[in-house]
Amino acid sequence: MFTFWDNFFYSIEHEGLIRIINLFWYYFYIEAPRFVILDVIILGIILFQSRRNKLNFKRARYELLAENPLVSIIVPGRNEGQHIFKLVNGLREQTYTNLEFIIVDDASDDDTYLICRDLKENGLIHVYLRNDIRGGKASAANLGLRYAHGKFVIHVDADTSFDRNAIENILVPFYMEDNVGGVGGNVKVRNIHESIATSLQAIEYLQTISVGRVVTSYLGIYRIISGAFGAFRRDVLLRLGGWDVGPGLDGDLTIKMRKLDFKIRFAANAVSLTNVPSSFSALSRQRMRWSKSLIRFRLRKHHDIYLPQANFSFINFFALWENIFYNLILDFFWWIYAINLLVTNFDFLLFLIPLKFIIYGIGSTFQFTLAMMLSERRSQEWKLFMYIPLMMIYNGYYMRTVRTIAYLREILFKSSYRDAWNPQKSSKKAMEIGI
Amino acid sequence: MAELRITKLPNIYNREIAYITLYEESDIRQLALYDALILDYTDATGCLKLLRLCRSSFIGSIYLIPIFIYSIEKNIDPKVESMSDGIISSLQVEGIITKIDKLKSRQANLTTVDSDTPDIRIMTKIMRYLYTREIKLQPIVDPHSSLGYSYPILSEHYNNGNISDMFRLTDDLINREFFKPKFVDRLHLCSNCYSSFINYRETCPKCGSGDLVTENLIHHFVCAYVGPEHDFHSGDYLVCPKCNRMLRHIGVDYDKPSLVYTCRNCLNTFQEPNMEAFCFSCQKHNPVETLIDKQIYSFELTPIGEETALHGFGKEIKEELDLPGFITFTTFNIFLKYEIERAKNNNRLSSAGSLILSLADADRHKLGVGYSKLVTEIADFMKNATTSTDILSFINNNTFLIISPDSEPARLHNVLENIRQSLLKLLLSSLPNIHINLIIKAIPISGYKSHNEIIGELIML
Repeated sequence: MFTFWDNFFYSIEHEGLIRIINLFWYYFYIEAPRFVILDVIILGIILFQSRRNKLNFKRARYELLAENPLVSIIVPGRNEGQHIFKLVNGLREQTYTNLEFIIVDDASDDDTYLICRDLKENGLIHVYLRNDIRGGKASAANLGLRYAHGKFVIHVDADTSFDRNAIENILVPFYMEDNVGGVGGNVKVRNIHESIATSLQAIEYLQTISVGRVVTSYLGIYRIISGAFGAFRRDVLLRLGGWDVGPGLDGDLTIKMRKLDFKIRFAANAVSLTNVPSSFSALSRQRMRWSKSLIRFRLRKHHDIYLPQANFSFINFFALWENIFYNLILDFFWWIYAINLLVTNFDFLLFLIPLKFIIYGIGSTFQFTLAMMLSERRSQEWKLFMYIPLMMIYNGYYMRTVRTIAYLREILFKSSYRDAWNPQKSSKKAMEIGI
Repeated sequence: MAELRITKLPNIYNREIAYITLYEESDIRQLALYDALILDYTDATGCLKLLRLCRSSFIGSIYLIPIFIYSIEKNIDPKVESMSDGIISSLQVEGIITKIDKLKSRQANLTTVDSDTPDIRIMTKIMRYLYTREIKLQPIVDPHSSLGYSYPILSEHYNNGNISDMFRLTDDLINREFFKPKFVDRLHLCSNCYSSFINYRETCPKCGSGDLVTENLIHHFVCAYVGPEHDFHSGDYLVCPKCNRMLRHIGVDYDKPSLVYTCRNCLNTFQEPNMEAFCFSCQKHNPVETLIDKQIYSFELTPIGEETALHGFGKEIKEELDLPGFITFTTFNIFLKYEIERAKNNNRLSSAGSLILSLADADRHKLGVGYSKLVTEIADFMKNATTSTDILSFINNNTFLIISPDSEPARLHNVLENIRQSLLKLLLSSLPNIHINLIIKAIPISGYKSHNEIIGELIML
């Protein structure tokens, strides 16, 4: 063992730093500038502007509370009865209280009906709508929207829970700037310690949501208001006709809003917790679905964003192009890079893997530190630090593989239209007209 | 007072058979002289009226008299049919003589009994009627009854809305094993007045209005828009308001996953309306879960019932309403007879009195099951306002009787008047919308009147 590390450091010294950077150019020239350096710069700017932001937030919050608009909370779901009571009780703890609870039951075959009926009879929810025939999540959300009365609509998943000020905080951005169409909430992992899979996802959520979306929101390229916790102006939603057939309907809706030139913002201080898949097989299925939607919506359905036309918007072009470039193009490119790395540096292979661990470990630690600086519950989250070494495998190999398979399936076979997540009757019609 | 037009039908069987063709206000006691009656159905209303008068009497020779309906029509009021002993289409008595004789012979088996309370009298009467006829007590559908069903003869005694009393009586008959019940129907009755004349309606859970509109929801598959059907109406076509596509084919382009109600009063939208039962009789809005679930039975006389019909109830009968401090009417009669004897022998003057609770039918209706509570409250008040030597009893669901030994009628009248005044004040404040009348009487107990005459005087309004 001693000999290995002796040789390892000897090789590094002998080969030189330049060769190492050239070997890992993919990370140093592509990933690190985007996901580490840019994050540091933007967060630095935000920190610099924090006093002004705080004042603006305070003023906007005052305006919100003075107006006290009705806010409709829409909870579409199927067989979510077990979560509804906790959800409603949790929402009753909110600091913002002018809320209208709308539960839409998409043909559940468990006790959801009995639970919701009981909650309604006891005045805990305002509207309970049930479809006897399953229509899919989008249709359930649209039904809720049809009977919502609030100035704002907040879409939540039934298994989401919220910090006491989450609803208030997600509404404030509407009063901080003009023309904000939607605000995404900060979604964190509740079942952090359930399994290695959930712990790794917790780190991923901290990096890509809690930090990543602060950066994209600041740059104006924030693309997905998460379905688990997102707020919208009801008039804008009605103008758009609500949600379209999924999967990936939350991202699709956000793009539609962007196309209408509405601003999309992220509220890092509107914190919600959700359960994530606890096994890698369930996680793979979920990510397959999410990744397919990148091809289906951002590449196919909204391809007009990339074309020079009357409504062309550079910021929208950039927002989607950045997403396509880093997630799709570079994903395929990485496989070429990795194979090339293996073939051309076979003599160096023994040292490549530990070296990669170290480089990615340093990068992940840096990102994690940024997330901890922003986190409001760092005392619970810092323990995730011990999983940082695994993030290279999780992000670098596991997620990349899942994504690549999903992209290929969608590009070659349009397999998202056969996903059981959505009823076949809707998927079939959506495929016929190519949306 | 006009008379009944009665024609005696001559016959070789030496039976007194009366044929009645004209029905006016009349004294029916004269009918007891006949062996049977034949009522002409030409005046259906008058016929029913006389039939009811006969069958609601407590005089055995009247309510048990064989009555036939003469009609050439086929369409006879079921109520008339159920209370008669048969429909005849000719006035030849040969056809009914056997039946008359049979009824008379069974009637002859009945021993004379002293009927104690009104309930016992009704029970005895019904059982005797069934025994002589050898029939079941069969309910008939009756749109004129608030219950929707009526029992021949029995319902004649409960036609003032006190249906709960009738159910109490039939339950009692079942419990005593006099009647064997057989299921006929299940009713849901108003919790206030026992009426089955109920309108079930859907109401808005928010404002309670019944002004609701229902609409199908439509789910358009392509764009996932879901809304009520009127969102899609565009002339004769269905066009999606979100994507402007025409909906051509259910199951292919769209489906109707559920139904929504909209309240036109408060614009509330919901899928589960409240169910309410509105009682047409007392106008109470009942939540459906508070309706009284009652079964309607036909009743067959059991052997014990037949025995009781023949020989009466014996001494173990309980009073209809158990009021603490009040003795049974049977015991009251014994005390009264004892006081009459004392008056005869010792020339002592005692008094008997009554307090009668008189309510309009509508008010009795309004009170519903609260009537028993009112009676109990009055009884409590009377018990506290009289002395321990006074003897109290209660009959007929509304009449309180009192014997005040060694007391003059004037003194008893004053006591009863004080009770009356106080009760009226009390009831006026607790039941402001009910018009309650309390009638009092106080008479001397002398040795010249029988106990029946005294009771008759006390309860006569």
